[in-house]
Amino acid sequence: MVVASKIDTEGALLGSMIVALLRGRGIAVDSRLQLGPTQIVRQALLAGQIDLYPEYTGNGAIFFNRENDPAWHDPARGYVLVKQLDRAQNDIVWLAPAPADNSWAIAMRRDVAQKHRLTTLEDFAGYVNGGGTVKLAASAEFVDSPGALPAFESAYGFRLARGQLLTLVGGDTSATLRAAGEGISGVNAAMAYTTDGALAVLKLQLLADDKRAQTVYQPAPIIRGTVLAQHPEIEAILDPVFRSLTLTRLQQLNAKIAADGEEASAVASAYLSANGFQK
Amino acid sequence: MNSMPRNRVLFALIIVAVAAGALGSFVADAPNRLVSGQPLGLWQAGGATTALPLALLGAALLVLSFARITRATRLAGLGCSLAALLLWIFAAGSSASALMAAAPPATRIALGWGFWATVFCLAMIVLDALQRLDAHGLLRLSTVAAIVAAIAAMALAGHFDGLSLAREYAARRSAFWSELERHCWLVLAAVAIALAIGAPLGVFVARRPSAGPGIFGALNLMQTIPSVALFGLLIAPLSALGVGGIGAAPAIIALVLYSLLPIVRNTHAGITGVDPTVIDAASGVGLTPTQILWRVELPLGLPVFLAGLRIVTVQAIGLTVIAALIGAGGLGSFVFQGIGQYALDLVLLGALPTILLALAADFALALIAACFERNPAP
Amino acid sequence: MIELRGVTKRYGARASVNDVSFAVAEGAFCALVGPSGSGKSTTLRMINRLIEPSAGTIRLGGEDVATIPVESLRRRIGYAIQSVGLFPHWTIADNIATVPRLLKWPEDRVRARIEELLTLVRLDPGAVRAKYPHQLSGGQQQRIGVARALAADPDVLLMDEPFGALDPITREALRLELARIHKATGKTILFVTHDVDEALQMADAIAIMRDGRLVQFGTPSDLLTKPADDFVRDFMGGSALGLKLLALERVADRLNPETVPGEAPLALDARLSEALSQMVLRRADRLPVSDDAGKPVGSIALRDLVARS
Repeated sequence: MVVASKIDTEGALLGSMIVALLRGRGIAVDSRLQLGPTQIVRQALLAGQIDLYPEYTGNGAIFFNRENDPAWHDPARGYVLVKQLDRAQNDIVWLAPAPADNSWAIAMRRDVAQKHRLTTLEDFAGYVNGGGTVKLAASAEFVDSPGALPAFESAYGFRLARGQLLTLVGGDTSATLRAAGEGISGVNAAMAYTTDGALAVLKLQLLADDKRAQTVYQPAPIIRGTVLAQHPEIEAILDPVFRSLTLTRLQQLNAKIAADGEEASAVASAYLSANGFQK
Repeated sequence: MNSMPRNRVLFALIIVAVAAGALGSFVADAPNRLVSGQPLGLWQAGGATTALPLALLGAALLVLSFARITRATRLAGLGCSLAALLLWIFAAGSSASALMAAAPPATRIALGWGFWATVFCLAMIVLDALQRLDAHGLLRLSTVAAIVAAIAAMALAGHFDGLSLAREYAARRSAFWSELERHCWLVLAAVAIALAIGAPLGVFVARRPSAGPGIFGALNLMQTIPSVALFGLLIAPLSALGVGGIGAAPAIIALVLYSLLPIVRNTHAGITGVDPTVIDAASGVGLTPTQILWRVELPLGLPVFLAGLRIVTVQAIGLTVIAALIGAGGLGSFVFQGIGQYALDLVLLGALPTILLALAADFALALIAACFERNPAP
Repeated sequence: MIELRGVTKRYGARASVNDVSFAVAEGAFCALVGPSGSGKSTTLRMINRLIEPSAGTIRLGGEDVATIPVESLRRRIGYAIQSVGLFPHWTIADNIATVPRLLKWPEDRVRARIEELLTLVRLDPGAVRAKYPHQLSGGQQQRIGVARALAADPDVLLMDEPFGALDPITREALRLELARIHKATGKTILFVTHDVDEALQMADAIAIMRDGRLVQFGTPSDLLTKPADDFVRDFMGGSALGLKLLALERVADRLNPETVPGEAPLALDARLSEALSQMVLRRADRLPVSDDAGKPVGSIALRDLVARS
């Protein structure tokens, strides 16, 4: 069977774990990790060219055109909804998700955050409305997509002016985090993912999303129904591992790959051995 | 000795090389993969032992730029610049190893802009020296081969292991070789299919000139479509047709479409470029049109055709990098992962082999073309 | 051997060859002359069907060429052109062997034929066989062109201004070669040229064309003494007609048995025009003649040149 993943760091990590676990139990796996962006990988699954890859629960909103459904803001309801929809419409099974919520977030330089005592987005809104200096580096998608920055702005009651935004093309947080971390062009805040490994290293601090403005994105392995029927043991193999991946753990593992430059498969195997999932 | 430099090119290049080497950043020392490194000069980066010989070679080249231009001074120039180039590259490896030895494993030592600027200048000096010596092909080939061999030997001996580029490679060794293999297969498949379609098409247009404007017009239009767009556009219709290969199929189709124009054009030019009196004589002595095609037109048109094949192969090697965007794999995977992670060394891991592959293919095909040139006609 | 009847070629409304009829006897050397644009090349190329006639018939050895498959027709005819058209990527030997190999001759017969032909065109087989065309001079290339045309031993040779691109000395040498080969092999040759003197020197029969029409067909002597119209007269030499007539005959034809003393005797096969030229140069109206061995055999006088033959 073919196991794939998206092209980002976390995809490589989760994908490597899946590959290692399945091979460890004697299942023949063809690894096509870091295949491409979401659209490519999802299309490949629907077309039957790949069999399994780690996806995020919140993406159900886009897959099934239900952006405004409030269920996506609740981890349990979101998971149940996407599981039901994908099973019914595409015969794709969503296995157990990780508790880590990898959604969009705003991170700030630690020195600025500590100076102004900012820990949540509510604090941030107050800071912005009070005239504090802010320059946020973000992708065009983050700035325009109704589920991203606009969602934060309406939930917390602040508005960033054009001059307070540095918009980059492309959706990756590495560039935005680096900009904030090194203070390029006066940037002191950045678009981030909550599980980004670079946060600690670049001395950035996540601002907590107390009001749940963001959709919940929990990673879970999704597999084609026919393939699961051939290998029903996969569910039991992957469930405990994914359930063990908390936000902090994912951040640490991502940091090892992104910051320390260790190989994703090596980091994955080390985690699995260290926690008794594999020898 | 003159007060003005006799060899102004050498003078200018060596001044820039020395300035960049001395003042620019030789390497950048970063605590991890994500942050920018602190720029360091050669002597700061533990290059004390190499700094002196390099300075002497630089001084020698500076002096030579004032000297009378004789065969001896030219040879001396070639020798000094070759030595300087190799020593400079050697120094990069040594500094990286020295810095890594005393640092935590997450440290990254990247090559700085000063390093690259000086390499570029020294390479230009070597080329200039070969040019002024009026070096024939063998000497040029030996010089290039010597440089490549020296660098390869250093690399194999692990001399460059301290550099961040080597660390990226080490973390992905098996993936690197499988993606390299996949890249080569994609290029070969695309070029082979383009040949199979394009060469007969070129013969057809040569035989039927009225079809020319239409066919060339369509192919020209194809070339103007941005490659990324074409790769993306092909996924939907192909998956509707049920064609699999996760990205390999649309990638190869797009590559074939881009490769058709040079092949058709050069096949056509090769055939129509044959002296018409030769064709007349061939008809007159009783060769059938098919015999004329295979025995006269194609052999005589071969050099032009091979030139087209060369262009197509080099172009395909570069375009295949884009194919990684749609899941086709290849060296482009590293380029895009590197862009996503803002890890420029990962981008280099994809880009440098692509460039070397293109240069090697270009060289090999030029060699093959030269073999056919030796025989016939002016 | 070659018979054209009512042959016409039209391009649109214009006829570049208009109702041309003549016959070339077997073993004859026929020159097809005329000014540029007279249609002589077009006529030649209709015989081996490089151009298809719009009307009329052409017979080769009694067969209508339109009924013969075109490639086998061309392999039976030797074809030599002004630009030679040797295949630049083949050796001289391979070039000459073109038609024999097309006719599937056994390889040793081909090899022998190559040697034979190179000797015939007076080139050293050993030196030239493995060379490529661009390594030979223009004159040598044209000799190879002739050799290639003769390779399969065709009965008929079609030649389209083959010596036109060469310098006068080489041209003269090749003309003599061709005349010698014609005499030795007895082939039928149709030779297009715009050079009247060349035609007069080599041909048994001359067809003169103008604007697509055949104006006159006859022996060199006929055309010189009985030109059909002013055009023919002017084309054949105008006021120099008499001198050209002299070029047609040799000293041996008008030899006067009376011997005269003198140095540098003329040869028996020298042309009368040469005799006249020598008389003018030496200011003598009578010159001695000797044979190949140098023995005096008689003389020739100015009076003999103008006497009725």
